[in-house]
Amino acid sequence: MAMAMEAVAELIDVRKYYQMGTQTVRALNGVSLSFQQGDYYAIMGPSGSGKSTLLNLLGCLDRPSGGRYLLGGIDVATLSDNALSDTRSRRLGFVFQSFNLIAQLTVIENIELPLVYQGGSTSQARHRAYELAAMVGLETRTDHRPAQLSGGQQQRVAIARAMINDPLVILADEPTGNLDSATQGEIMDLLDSLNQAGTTIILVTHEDDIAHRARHVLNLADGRIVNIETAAERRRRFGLEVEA
Amino acid sequence: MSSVSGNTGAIGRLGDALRRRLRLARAMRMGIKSLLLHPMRAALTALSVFCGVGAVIVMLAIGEGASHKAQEQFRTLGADTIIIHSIQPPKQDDSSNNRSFAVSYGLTYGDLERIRSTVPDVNLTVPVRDLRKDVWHGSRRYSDGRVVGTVSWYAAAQHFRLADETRGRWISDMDNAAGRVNLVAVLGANAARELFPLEDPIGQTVQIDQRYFRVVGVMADQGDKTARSQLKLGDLSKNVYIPLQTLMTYYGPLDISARSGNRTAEEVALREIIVKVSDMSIVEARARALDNVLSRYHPTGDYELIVPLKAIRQAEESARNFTILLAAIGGISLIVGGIGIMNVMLATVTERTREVGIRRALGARKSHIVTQFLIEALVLTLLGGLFGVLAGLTSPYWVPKVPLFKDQEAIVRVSQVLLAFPIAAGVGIIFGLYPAWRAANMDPIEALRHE
Ligand SMILES: Nc1ncnc2c1ncn2[C@@H]1O[C@H](COP(=O)(O)OP(=O)(O)OP(=O)(O)O)[C@@H](O)[C@H]1O
Ligand SMILES: [Mg+2]
Repeated sequence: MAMAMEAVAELIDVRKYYQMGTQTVRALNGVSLSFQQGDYYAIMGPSGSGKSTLLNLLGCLDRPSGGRYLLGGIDVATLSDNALSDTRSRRLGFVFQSFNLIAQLTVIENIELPLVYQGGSTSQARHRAYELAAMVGLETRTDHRPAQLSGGQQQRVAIARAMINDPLVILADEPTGNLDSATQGEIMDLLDSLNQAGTTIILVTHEDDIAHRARHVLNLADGRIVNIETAAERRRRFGLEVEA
Repeated sequence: MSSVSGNTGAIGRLGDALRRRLRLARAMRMGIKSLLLHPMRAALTALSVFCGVGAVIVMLAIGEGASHKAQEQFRTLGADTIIIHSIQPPKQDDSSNNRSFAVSYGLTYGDLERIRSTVPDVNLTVPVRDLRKDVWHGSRRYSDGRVVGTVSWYAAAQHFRLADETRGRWISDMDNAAGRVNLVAVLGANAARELFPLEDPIGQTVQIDQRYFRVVGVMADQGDKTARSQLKLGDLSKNVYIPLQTLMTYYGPLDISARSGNRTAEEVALREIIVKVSDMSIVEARARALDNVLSRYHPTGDYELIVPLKAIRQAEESARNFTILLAAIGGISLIVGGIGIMNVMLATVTERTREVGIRRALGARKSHIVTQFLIEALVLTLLGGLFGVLAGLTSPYWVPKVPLFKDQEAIVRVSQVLLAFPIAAGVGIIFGLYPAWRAANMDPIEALRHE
């Protein structure tokens, strides 16, 4: 992309330590990195390398033990708990491995939930939720409960929910981990199309063919960045066709 | 980046108010939806609150009813009266009993005069003299009551009413006019029933010791007699009333009665003097004055002062204690209901840990989570409270029919019912707060990992 890019999220020597008795677990041990508007990152690495920890920090669900994290230019470490909540509801979208829809709410109520916590107009929220339900192809299932949907459909609802606040970044921790391969493809196609429309996406995955879809792949090990590959470099390494 | 436009002006404020209203309605709806995940659990929890709130209102209503009943009973004795009663003095020794033929004790006409002349603010003094006599109608014998000689104003002092206001009369001043003997009688309700089970007694005659008395009136039933019996005053409806003057003329001061072979003789001039003072507030002071006047002439202590006001106060006091006890029982039920709420809410919060994590991730503040679970607790308590209030409101109808309460009255006060809603809400908030607080303070990441 030729246009000048603006950093939506920037990590500067970010550390996350957990104290387990006398032992200190260094889940993230000095990570510096910046994400541009419209980026598409896949985070990879062995189990316990700190992928989820990184994503949780990016998602403002946690504060770093050291270093700085700037989201949209604001240092997250200085924010109050309420401000973190507001940041999540206004600027971030989450997609989880296990869908994480709320069982007692209908599809449409699940989709509009982030806007409810912003306290805006309910009719506008409802209207936008219907638009997104249509976008993910579930306009006929808006009054259904999550339990009445397939896994793939539930994940579509979750993606629509992540999109409702026009987030700076969508964070997805193994979004296709619970899905069969055909459905995986559908969900990834949906995420690809969102990215093409300009949404920044950061996802964690264990699977190479999912990582191939991203523009950058970040390899983590022991809480440190091993390297960042571009899609072209990676495809070459895997002996795949490099798209024109 | 789009900035949130600040709504200013009246329209904006109106919109805000409306939005807040909508949001609360929405939160309530969501709360109900969540509760319906476990309808049975919700119903049982609401039931526990129902029991608590219902118990409070019903117990207070029963307490109120009991208090009302007790006060009514004693009020019929008159809060402004003092009853002086002749009592047999404690026996000094056996020899004194043998010396004279009759035991002589009690109030005298001298006492009556002394009271009238020395104690101020006395509106009425009513002398009462009675005899244990059999009363006959034809061959029907009535020996259950007393023959009471008294004056016209006795009826007013004792709150007597005629059974039929249009027929018959009470003993009049003419009946007691000096030097006259009038053979008229007024029957207490019980005496009338016993002597005239079938006929109308008015105009008929009853016989006392070979003398025939014309029945001129029948008293209405006295209603509740527990207050009188509590004060050991006897049942007035069993008596036969004749003019005091007549009784004194025929029998003098001596009461010789022979019953069931046991011959006893007593000389009692006046059985009772009823004193009515001008104002309720001075009853106790005048009772002390009366006691001073009488004690000088009655060193043996052969009289007794009964102050119904004191009894009313005692009745009020014990009714109040009873109400406090009942309210405590209700309160404990309410606390038990609250603990039920807390228990269920804690279980709910644990069960929905992941939901809390999801909501937090999507941007819910801690306060949103607190509000959400508090509203669920509130919906439960208000639902239970609503039915509790209904049970309370209808308690005057069903409480007397419950055998356990033995015809206990229940009186519901609007203030207590109105109070029940805030109390129910308070229970919901107090006992729902801790579980809600626990939910809000979960670590979102931990909560999301929860299975
Ligand atoms: N709350 C915590 N308390 C203590 N240690 C933690 C905590 N969360 C994560 N860790 C540790 O931090 C390290 C990184 O964990 P993380 O969950 O980020 O790994 P991951 O890369 O997502 O692994 P996986 O691929 O298995 O999901 C691990 O060693 C983990 O044990
Ligand atoms: Mg992980």
